Amino acid sequence: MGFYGIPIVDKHMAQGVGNGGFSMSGTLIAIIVIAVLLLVFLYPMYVRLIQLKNKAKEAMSGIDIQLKKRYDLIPNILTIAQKYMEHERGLFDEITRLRSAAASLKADADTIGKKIELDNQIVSKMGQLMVNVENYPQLKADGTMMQAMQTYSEVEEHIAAARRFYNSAVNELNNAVEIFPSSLVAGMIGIRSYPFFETDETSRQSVNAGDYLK
Amino acid sequence: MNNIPRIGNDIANYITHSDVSNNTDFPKPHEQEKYSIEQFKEDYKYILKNNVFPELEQFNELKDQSVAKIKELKIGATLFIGIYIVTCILFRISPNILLFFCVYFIFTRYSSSIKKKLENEIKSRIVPILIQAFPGFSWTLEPIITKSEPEEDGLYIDYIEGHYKTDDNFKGSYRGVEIAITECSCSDKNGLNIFQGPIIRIKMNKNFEGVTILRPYNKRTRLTKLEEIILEDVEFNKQFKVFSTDQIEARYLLTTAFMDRLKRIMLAFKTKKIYCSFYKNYVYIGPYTNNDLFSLADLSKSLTDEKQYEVLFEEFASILKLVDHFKLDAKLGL
Repeated sequence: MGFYGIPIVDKHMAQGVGNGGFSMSGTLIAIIVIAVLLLVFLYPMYVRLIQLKNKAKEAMSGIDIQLKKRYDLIPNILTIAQKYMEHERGLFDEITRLRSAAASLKADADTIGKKIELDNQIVSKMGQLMVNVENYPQLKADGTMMQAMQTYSEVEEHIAAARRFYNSAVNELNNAVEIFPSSLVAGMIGIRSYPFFETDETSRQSVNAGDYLK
Repeated sequence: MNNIPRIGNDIANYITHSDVSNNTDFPKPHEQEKYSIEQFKEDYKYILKNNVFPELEQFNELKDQSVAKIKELKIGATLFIGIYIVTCILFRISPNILLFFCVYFIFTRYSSSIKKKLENEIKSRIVPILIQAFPGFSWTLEPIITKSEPEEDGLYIDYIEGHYKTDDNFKGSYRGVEIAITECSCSDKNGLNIFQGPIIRIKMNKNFEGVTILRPYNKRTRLTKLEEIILEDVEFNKQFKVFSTDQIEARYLLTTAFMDRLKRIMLAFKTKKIYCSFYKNYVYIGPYTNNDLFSLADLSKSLTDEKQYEVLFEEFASILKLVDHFKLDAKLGL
């Protein structure tokens, strides 16, 4: 302490204060620059990931809409087929059970896998039904049944198209989620990969025409 | 008369000039049946020899007059150029190159219009007879696919402020599928040719509501109000840009089988550019052929030269084969 209690600041101390001041403002500028750079690079990645996630959700919703058309159509087909195919009761019950289970599931990232599995089973059972229809000539001649089958066929084509859109959207999303550096941003904001719509093992096996031409 | 080919109903609808029907060897109408291209060919050859060639005799004089006019033009143009060059040499003036181009342009345009006039005269008489080899089809010079149709479906958005010129038009059904063909050329407001070839409109075997457009690949191509669709076929994506109102509907229409067939069509028409769109339950296919199809009355050959009629048949049949190629006559899910 100097005269009258006023602290004495000598030139060395002053220099020390000046240097400390300089390093503080330099650090601050560096932090700001890094933050801006991160924002410039990270923000577009963030936006793209959100867009891809929403596109995958849109595609999922598209499948859901088409599947709903199928679920609405199945009871009509079963009602008509029941009149003629009395011995296929077991198959009808199985299709109805699967349909109810699939229709009750909402389409989101958590349930999409289960939905795909149920859908594959429905396709398999409905395929069996269509083959069995060939054994009932009266049913084949029924105009309502033919129209229902044609509508079902169109719905299946739309479902196939919706699946292609879904797989395309999921492919883009999964690439962004799994490839560095957008994978870091995806991890930070909690966006994860979606499953692809794949066929089941039974459908992948080659068909033996001899089984059908007996 | 035992060799009369089987021809469809409504001959009167196809004959636009009553004096043509006076030919007593004309085949009698009967029930329409499903025909193959080979059957069409047999009927076509029969009609060509028995009904068309006799009619062509009356056009020989007109053809000779047209050839004479073009010859006069050629001589006139050559003389003019000759006199001009001599004058330039004598008076030591540098010749104006632009004048040569003008003379060439005028000569080409005028001789084309003479040839076209002769061709239209002949076509108006004989094509309605020839087309009877294809039951259910008719021919006209009036546009069937009008200018507004390509505008609405977005097939040729670029030319809206430009010109749309049509030539031959056909309409009918093949294997139960509606087909319309309009041979046209489109140019933009600056006169630049955008498209020349046939626009083929075929009724689709699928129902759909929106618009899906395929354009030859160009990085800068954008269509407002439509979403760009990236499909799975990498080769296809290199050749086309796809735009649609709906992602799912675009994939419903553009199945992997359809994409593959469209690529093969480009080979069949020997073109690197093909336009395609789906609109109001129709598919519009426009191969850019850049030459005049269904052309007749080649002045350098005899009017009864069979080769030009064979080419005409092959061009028309190749369009009908699109129905078989794309399997548009059946609901296959492909």
